[in-house]
Amino acid sequence: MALLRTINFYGRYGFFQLKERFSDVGQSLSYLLLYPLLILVLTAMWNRFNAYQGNYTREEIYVYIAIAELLFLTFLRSAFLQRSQADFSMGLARPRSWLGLTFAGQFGATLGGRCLYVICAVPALLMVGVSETLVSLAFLRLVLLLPILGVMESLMASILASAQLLWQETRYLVLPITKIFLALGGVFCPLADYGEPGRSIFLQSPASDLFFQVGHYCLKGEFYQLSGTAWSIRIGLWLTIFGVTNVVFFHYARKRHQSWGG
Amino acid sequence: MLRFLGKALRYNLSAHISNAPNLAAATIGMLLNNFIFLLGLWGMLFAGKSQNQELLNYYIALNVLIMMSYGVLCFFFGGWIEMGDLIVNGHFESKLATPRHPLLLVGTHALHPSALGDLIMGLAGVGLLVGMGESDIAVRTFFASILAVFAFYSLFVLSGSLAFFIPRGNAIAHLTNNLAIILCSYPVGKIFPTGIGRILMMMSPVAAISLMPMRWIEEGTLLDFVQALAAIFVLWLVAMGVYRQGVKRYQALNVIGTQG
Repeated sequence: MALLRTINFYGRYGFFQLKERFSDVGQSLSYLLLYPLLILVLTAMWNRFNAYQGNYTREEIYVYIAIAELLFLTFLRSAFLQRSQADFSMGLARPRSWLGLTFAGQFGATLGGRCLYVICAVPALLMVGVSETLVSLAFLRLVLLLPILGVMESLMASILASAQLLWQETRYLVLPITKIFLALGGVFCPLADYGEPGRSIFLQSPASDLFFQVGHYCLKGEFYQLSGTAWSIRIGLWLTIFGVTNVVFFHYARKRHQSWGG
Repeated sequence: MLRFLGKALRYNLSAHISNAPNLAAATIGMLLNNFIFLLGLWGMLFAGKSQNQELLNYYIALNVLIMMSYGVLCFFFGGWIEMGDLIVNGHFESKLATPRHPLLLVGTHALHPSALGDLIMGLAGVGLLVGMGESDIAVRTFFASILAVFAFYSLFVLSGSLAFFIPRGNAIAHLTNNLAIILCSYPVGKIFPTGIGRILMMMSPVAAISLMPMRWIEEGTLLDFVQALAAIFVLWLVAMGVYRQGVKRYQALNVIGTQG
């Protein structure tokens, strides 16, 4: 019973953060303008420099870029990550865990942001002439994967939130960390179109599992040079690593944190 | 004037130097960020692709142009990129009550330590071009970066001035700045060589910041240089026009409060 109440509490907190993403008019406006423009520019760039390789059609690239950008633009981005530190001292005095709140809040915020982008992406892709079948199939597959991707992203965000409590300067590392996932994850274009030796190396990174493999699966219904089981094992491995890292960072953050006046 | 600028820079810097780990983290963070971004684009466009190699110099020059100009402007005059926020938050009022030009005071209002990372990366890029034996392109890129500083300044004043006219104009200013910076970071001159895409780019601030200066860097003719100057001048004229109209209708926050 107590466990159910706890799950209900975190669930409601996460849902509140999800709804919060729909309440910011300025940000919603930027989604509507910036996101389709990025899809157009990156697709045009692929068309100019990589289309000759013939791994994907132009329609597929529109959908791929839309999915990869959607995942990237909500990756360790939410203002919730910054705000979560403010609640740390209070979190220590509450019966609920600060780490649990951060995780649930981040999960809700990320899921909300991604839902907003999906709402933007579908009409934008249909307007540029991508077939309804491809769009609906790809986005259905994406929606299936969103929860597990959200868990992964929230675990990483929680590590960064704890790290910022330990060393404030690590907030400047959030941007380069996201860039690692942008550059090595195949957000600019599918990793399958990258030249060697970059392709073989980048395919081994977690960034590839979270961005390129997801985008490729949504398009083709299968992972790139990887079985579904192998992808699940890799994701499971990353989840374990990030979970353990979270516990370690939170442990030290709680030990070393000094609140104002402390 | 120079004394004033020197003092403003010294005071802004002293605030950051007193927290050296923060300044170092910001600079190193931005250096890493830029390096990884360039690595990703290199992997996508050039690694193992012989047919794209002719664009390598263009790609390096473009990134040097944007990083250096943005780095110089935001490191020494970090207030301009925040102009919309200053207006919306009521900090612009105090700039109107001194004999100095309000835009100068806005510019020296803040300093972005992370922009130092952009500036260093840009200078390293100039060195790389020289090392590759492209001294002509390196010299033109260096001077084009100085021109692009004025283009970025005009863009920031133009977008920031929207806050005079539109409620929450600061959000639109951020969006406009981000759009322009993103478009300038990709080789749009090569992606859209002709057609509607090209026309749209020529009608936007991207023309003055990167398209026209890049054409001069590539071709090196006097005509291209004059066209780049003209594009920047037009953007500056529009920015100043919008700014002046905005200042005329600007009402201090306490007046708005009284009316409310």
